[in-house]
Amino acid sequence: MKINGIRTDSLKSEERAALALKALYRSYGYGEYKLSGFEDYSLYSDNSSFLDGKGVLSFGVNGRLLALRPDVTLSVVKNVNAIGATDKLFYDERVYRKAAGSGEFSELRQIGVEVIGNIDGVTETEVCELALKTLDCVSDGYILDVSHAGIIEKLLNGMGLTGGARAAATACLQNKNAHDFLRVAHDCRDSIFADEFVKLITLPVQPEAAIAALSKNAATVGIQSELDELSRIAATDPKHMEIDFSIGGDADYYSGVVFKGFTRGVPYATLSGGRYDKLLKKFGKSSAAVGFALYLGELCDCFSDAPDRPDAVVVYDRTTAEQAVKKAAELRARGLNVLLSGEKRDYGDGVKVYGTEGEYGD
Amino acid sequence: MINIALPKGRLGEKAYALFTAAGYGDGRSDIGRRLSFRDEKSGFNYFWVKPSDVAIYVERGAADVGVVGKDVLDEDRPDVYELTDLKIGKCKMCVAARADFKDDFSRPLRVASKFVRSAEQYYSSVGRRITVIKLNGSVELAPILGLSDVIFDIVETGDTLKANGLRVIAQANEISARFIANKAAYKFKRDIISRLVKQLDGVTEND
Repeated sequence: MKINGIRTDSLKSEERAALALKALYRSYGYGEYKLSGFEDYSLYSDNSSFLDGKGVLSFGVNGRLLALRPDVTLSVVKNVNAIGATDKLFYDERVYRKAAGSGEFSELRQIGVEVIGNIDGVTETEVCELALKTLDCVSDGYILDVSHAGIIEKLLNGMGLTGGARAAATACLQNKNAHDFLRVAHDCRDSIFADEFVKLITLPVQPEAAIAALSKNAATVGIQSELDELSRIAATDPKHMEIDFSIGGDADYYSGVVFKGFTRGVPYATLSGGRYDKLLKKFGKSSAAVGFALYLGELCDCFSDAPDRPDAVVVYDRTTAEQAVKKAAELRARGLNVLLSGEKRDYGDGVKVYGTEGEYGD
Repeated sequence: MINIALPKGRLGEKAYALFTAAGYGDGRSDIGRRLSFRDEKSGFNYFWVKPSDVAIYVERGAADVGVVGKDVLDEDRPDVYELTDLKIGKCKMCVAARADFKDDFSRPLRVASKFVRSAEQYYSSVGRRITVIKLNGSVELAPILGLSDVIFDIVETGDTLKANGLRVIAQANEISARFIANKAAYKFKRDIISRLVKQLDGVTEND
């Protein structure tokens, strides 16, 4: 396979995945969005909980405090002006933040999709489908978890929990910790909301069973429309989708469905996203938004590519340099990866070496 | 096959006894200096690690599941699932002070503790301004030598406190060993992990 004359089989897995994903998003009519420059630090400090503790690297220039971008969505939301029209975008950017499972800042590649404007059920399902295809593109085994921020918020409100108790109940949900939630539930205003909240923690993950379990009291606790939305999204691919409310989604930003993708062999989520109308509202924008990010850098860090090795090496010395350069060019024209080297040494099994005896024939 | 991280020491031995009772071990915790072993019958791999490192092994996926004290979870807040309370290693997180201690509300309370985050969270919940002094051991000495007003620490029997002239003045929360799982491993090995939780729950309830 050739792309603009480049052999894709010689690319690293991260580069191959990026090419395939960009082709996927373009096939759905999405346009690439390129970010430029740095953002003011305040963009991230004002929205720190959206960053989920990933940290920000900042620096000062001419009296301005700027930041290396730890996230792309905030920049897209700030810069895109979707008035009366819907923008369907994708990006491929470097971000600078603490890598998952690490306290260290890293430069990481992140690829994602953002739709900003008028979001209907068709668009939401399309983004979910793209999230699934994204995971399928980078892994043989994957699961896309889906949750609904609206359901969690309504049950927390119904329980009448505030402050520390609300944070404790949310932590119990995120950690699947039903045993400690039972202690928090003592302070609940209304036990039916607490009972439904326990269900969120212990629910079967199979979409049909989960929806059935939540349907029983959905009307009573006022979550029917959210449940219908969740049910519609989860039907996109029941084989690879699970309903799991532990994936959360910050209630200050997410307003509807929330996604989190897991791929076999990676110990943390590699894809994250959802419906984030509330984030736009924070920027004074009335439109809606849905999107996701794939943490490609972190994903590829979990797997090793074969080390770079040329197909052939052309060795030269002072008397054979001209001949060697010609030979290398000739071999490259045949499609081989060729190293030109002044060192006569062992280049490993399977690497054809030319010119060790001053001969450059086949 | 799953990898299980157990805390070295008494708590780990009690936990392994539970796994054995649940049918996932042979009960032999006398493994000498070996840090890992395999239960051939279940195919589970066990690792003995420092108690405070169990959550790190699990969070980063080196172990699929593990057993860790609630004190460590509260302090380090790892991104893991806390699937059940094993009801072993029970103790209490308490505030203790000298017998003649009287709180002076005109200044921040000086609290010595190994559990800085947990101490801050507790005092924030009761609305008391504090200064935390991080210590790594022999915390009971701090009020005796005037380094702190109180200590925030785990109390099992209270004997060490008594021997050093200290008494419990408040209880923050109850501690016990918890069974935790890596969030991604749980997605892909849910059947086996859920079965294990169910069997461990059965054993702990019968105790």
